[in-house]
Amino acid sequence: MEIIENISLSWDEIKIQYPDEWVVLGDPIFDGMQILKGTVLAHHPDKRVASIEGGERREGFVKFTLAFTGQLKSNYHIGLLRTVKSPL
Amino acid sequence: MKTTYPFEWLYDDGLIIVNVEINGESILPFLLDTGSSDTYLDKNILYIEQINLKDSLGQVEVETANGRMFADVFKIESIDVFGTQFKNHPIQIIDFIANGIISNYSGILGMDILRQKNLCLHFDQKTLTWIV
Repeated sequence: MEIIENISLSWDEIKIQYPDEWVVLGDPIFDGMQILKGTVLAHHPDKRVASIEGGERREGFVKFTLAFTGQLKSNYHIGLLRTVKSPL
Repeated sequence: MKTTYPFEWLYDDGLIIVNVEINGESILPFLLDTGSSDTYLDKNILYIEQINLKDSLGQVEVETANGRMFADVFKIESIDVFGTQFKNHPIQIIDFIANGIISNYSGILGMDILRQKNLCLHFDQKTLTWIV
């Protein structure tokens, strides 16, 4: 597993260092909805890989977030979700 | 009590994105969707939260505009929505990417939670008022 320095970076720095990747951030700081800074715990183009590695590097952090550093164009609208059959 | 929170538009789609906190740890963007009967979370967040995939309470069938899919149901210890904490709330888990949801948001905030309080949207100010 890649060693990543535990340094809090600004969101702009994260986007430059890890372009078009999913990043798991430890102890992120927000301004409203915007991520201002955070410590990169894991990064990968595959969301699943970034999430698994981020989960394994949680120790020492209290809060987390997952974000993509590039522009994802939404190509699927999931509206009108309705549970039709529940065994519960 | 009325509290005002910011929201973001998702690109130019007119979809509303808000921050939701899972288990007091993960702060994640959710799609606010009054057309969704339930609240959904991307399966990948379970890896970050280290929730065992075997803890699923079972599967439910979900109807969407694009067809039917199956979701696993998990009881999440706490989900914090606009400062209101919902404890042991059942949330449906979908692998977003496997189901073609390629987007920055990690969950869908549905009517199972929204209908429990009152919500007023101020589109011109990009804020919402949560009335408890």
